[in-house]
Amino acid sequence: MNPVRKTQWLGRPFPRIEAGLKVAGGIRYLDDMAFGPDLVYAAIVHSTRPHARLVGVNTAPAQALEGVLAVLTGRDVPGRLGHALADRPILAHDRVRYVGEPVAVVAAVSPELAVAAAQRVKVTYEDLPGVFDSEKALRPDAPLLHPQVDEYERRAFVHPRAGTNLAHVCRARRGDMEAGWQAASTVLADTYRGAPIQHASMEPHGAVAQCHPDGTITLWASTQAPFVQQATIAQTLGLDPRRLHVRAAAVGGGFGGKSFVSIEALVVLLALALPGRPVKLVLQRAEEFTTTFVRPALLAHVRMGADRHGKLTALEAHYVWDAGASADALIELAWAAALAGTGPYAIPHVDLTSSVVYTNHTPAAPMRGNGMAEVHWAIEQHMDRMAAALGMDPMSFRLRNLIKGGDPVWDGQVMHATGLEQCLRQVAQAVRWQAAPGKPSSAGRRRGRGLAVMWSPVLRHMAISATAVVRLESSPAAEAIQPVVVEVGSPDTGQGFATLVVQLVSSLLGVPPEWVQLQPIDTARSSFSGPGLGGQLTWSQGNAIVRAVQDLRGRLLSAVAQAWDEPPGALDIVEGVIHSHASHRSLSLRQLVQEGVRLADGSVLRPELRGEGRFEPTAPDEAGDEQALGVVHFSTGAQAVEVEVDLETGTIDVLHIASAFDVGHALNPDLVVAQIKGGAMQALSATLFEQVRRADGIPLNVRLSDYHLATILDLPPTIEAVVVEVPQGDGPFGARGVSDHAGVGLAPAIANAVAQATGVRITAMPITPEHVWRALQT
Amino acid sequence: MRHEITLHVNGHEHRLQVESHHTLLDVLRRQLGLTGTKHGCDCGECGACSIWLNDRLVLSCLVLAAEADGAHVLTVEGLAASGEFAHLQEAFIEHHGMQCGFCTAGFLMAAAALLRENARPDAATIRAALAGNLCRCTGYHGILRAVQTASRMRR
Ligand code: FES
Ligand code: FES
Repeated sequence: MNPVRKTQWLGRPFPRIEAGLKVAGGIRYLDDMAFGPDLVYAAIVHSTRPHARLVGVNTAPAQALEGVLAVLTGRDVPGRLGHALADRPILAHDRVRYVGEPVAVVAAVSPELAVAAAQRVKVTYEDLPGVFDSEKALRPDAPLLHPQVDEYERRAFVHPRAGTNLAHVCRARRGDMEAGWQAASTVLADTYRGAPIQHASMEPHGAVAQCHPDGTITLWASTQAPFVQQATIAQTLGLDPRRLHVRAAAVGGGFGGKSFVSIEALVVLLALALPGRPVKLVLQRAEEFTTTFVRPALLAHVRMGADRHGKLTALEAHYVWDAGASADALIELAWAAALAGTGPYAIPHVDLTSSVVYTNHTPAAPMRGNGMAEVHWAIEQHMDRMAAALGMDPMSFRLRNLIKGGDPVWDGQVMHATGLEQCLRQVAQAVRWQAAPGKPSSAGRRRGRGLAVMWSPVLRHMAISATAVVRLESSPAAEAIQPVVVEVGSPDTGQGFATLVVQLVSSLLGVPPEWVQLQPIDTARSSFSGPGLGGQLTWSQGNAIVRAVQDLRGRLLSAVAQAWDEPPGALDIVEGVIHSHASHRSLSLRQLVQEGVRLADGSVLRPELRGEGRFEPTAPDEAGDEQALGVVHFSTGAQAVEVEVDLETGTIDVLHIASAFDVGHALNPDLVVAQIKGGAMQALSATLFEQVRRADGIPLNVRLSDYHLATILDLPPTIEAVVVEVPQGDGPFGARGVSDHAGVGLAPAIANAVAQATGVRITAMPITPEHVWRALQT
Repeated sequence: MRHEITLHVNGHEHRLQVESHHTLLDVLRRQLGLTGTKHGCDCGECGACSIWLNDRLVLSCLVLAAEADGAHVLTVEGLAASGEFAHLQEAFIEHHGMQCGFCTAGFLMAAAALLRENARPDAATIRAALAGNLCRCTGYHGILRAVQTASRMRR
C-alpha cells in the first residue's frame, strides 16, 4: 500500500479544475475545434436491412455531384475491427448484419452536400433471414451471422463456437452442484430480462482525421480510449501504429459508448484517400442509436437454493448477452458476468455461464458497470423472492449471506476487506427500513421500499495497465510558477479525473495545484493506458501517477541531498521548495530547474526532471492463464429506495434514493458524491423509461423524443449518497473507483420496492407504468 | 437561396450571408465561431442549443437564421462576459451542476431566463423551467441546487 501522507489536497473538497471554462462555454469538444478552410465533411450510407447479402453498391450518382471528393465502400477496405475479437467490418463487405451498419462513406465540401451525396448511393440487397432474439439465435437451425467466427483474429481469452452464433462463452465454477442442491430446503428458478438501452451521451460521436505529408495521420476523436483507437484502427488497416496519432478532444459523456472504435476508422480511411485534407464526421442523433453502440439486452436464467437457516447453498445462472452484429466490445463484460455473477454473496456451490450471442441488432458495448447493472437486476430480485419463500426479511437474508473479507471466491482467491455490510446498513437506515411504510399521498396509491447490494469486479487484462509521466519544465523567467507537466493516457470524460490528477500530483510532489498541467492526450506522446472505463481510472491511472511522482521526487531529492551532503530522508518538498529538516537549507524547484544544484566542489548537478510510473495489476487467481480473465478486486455498495405506485395507472414515483459505496478512500469527496448521485439517476432512467425498441431488427425509437431519458422532473425529492471507506490495498492512497458502477443496485431496488408496494414482480426492464398496470390486472 | 442578414450577437453587430436552410445554431457555431452553444440533436429535443433571441429563451436549432434578421442574440459566451449571471455560474461550479459540461450552456441560458423573470422560483418552478434540457451525467441534483442557490444570492 502507498504511504498515506496527510496532505492539503487529498480527501477533501477540491473544485473541478475545468469548471470555470465549462460555465463560460469555453471547453472545446470535437465539433468545436477549428480545422481551417480545407476541412471536408463525411456522411455515412447506412444499411436499411437487418440482414442481407450486398448485391451491389452504386456510388456513381453520388460521385457525379460537384463537390463530392470521395466515396468509399467495403470493396476498398478488407479488414475487420476488433479489440479482443476482430468481427466488425469498417464498411460492410459482402453482407450487412444490422440496420445502420455503414455500407459506404462519402466526403464532400459541405456537410449538407455529404448527406445529399450519401442519399444518392444506390445499394442493392438480397434479404437473408434475420436473428432478432438471443435465444433463437442459439437454436441449431438459426441463420448464422458470422459463419467463420472461429477463423477471426482474437485474443486467447475469447472462446467462439464454430458453426453457431455463439461468439464467446465463458464459465466459472466452484464446489459441487449436486451437494449444493441437496443441502437446500428452498430452490427457486426464474428468468429476468434486461432491455437494450443506448448510452445517449449528450455529445454525439465525432472524429476528424488528417493525413500529413510525412505519412503520419492524426485522428482527433471524442473518445474514452485513445490508445484502443490507435491500436485497433492501425491493426485493421495494416498501418504502423506509430503512423497514427490519436488526440483526445474534450469528451461530452461516454459511459462506455466511446470506449471502443465505432466510426473513427471511417474518417481515417477518408483521410488516407484525401491526403492533406482534414475529414470530419459528427453523428446525427439517430445514428447514435443505430450505428454506434447500445447496452446489450440480457436474458438471465437463475436457479438458487438455500437451506432452512437462510444460508445460500447453490447458484446456477446462465447470462445470455445480445451482442448484436459484433461481440468484440462484450468479451470482458461476459467475463465480468461469469466471475461476479453470484452477486456479493458467499455461496459454496456455484456454476455460472456467460454467453455472447450474435443477432441482427446494432452492436452492443458495456454501459457503466460492465454488465453488473444487468446481472444484479436478476440476482437482487431473486434474493428478495428467496427471502419471501424462506419467510425471512430481505435485509436479514442478505446479511446472513453477504461475502466478507477472508471468504473464498474463486480457486485460490480470497475476498479482501470490504465495507459492503456497512453500505447495506447505511442505506437501510436512510430509508427507515425497519419502520412501517409511509402513508401514500392518496387512496389508490401504495408505498414500498426496496434494497439491493452489489459488487463489481476489476478484471486483470492488458488493457488496464497504465503508465504516467510527470516532468518539470522550464518556463519564462517572468512567470511565477514552475510548470509540472503530467502525461497520462486516459481522458477525463466528465467524471473529474483531471481534477484528481492535479490533487494527486500537487499533494505527492509538494507543489501548489496551479503548477500542475495535464497534457492533452496524444498517443504520439502520452503514456500508454487502457480504456477509460471510468471507475478504473482512479485506481489504475492513479497508481501510475503516484509512482511517477515518487520517481521524480526521488530523483530531485537524491540530487539535492548529494549536493548538500545530507541523507535524502532529511529533505522534503513543501509548496514547491525543497527544505532540509537537518540543515534548514532550502532551494526552490524553480531554481533547481533553471540552475541545477551546486556541489561542494563548485560543479553543478542537474537531476533528471522526469519521473515515470507504471502500474500493471495482477490477479491472484489467474496464475498466468491466457485463456481466462481473473478478478483483481471488487468494489461494493448498496442502494435503497422508497417508491409510491398508482394502482390505477401503474405510474411509479421514486420518492427517495439512498446509495452507499465503499470507495476505499474518497480522494475528492464532492466528486465522489456527484458521481454516486449522477449514477443513481442514470440508473433510474434505465429502470423506468429506457428501451431501444425494434421490430424485426428495425429500430423504432431513434430520437430523444421517442426514447425517454429522465429529466429534472424525475429527480426524486430525496437523493442521498453515503461514502464508505475501507481502504483498497492496491489503490492509490487506498482509493478505488466508483463512477463506473454507481448505479448498479438501483434497478433491482426499485423492482423490489414496487413488489413490496403492489405485490407484482416485474422481471423485464424497463418497469413502465404499462408493465405495472398489466401485471396488476392479472 | 442566400440571404443577407444582420444579427446583434452578444452586443456585436454582424452582417452575414446565410442559406435558407441554415439554422441560427449553424450560423453561431460555424460562421461566428461561437461554439459554446452545443449541437446535441438538431431537432429541439435536448436543449443543448438554448440561447436568448430578443430576450426570449429559444432552441437555436429550431430557428432559421434568415428569420432572425435584425434580432438580438445572447449566447453563453455573452452571458459569461456580461457578468450579470456570475452568481449562477459560480453556483453551478460549487454544487457540481456539471460533469462533462456538454449540457451546461443550455442549462445556464434556461436558468438565467427563469431567474430574470422570477427572482425567487420555488423548486417546482425551477424543475418546470429546466424540463426541456437533458443532462446524462449529473442526475440534475446539482443543477437544481445551483439554481436554488443562485436565486438566493440574486441581488
Ligand atoms: S440541438 Fe437544439 S434542442 Fe438539441
Ligand atoms: S454534464 Fe454531461 S450531459 Fe450534463
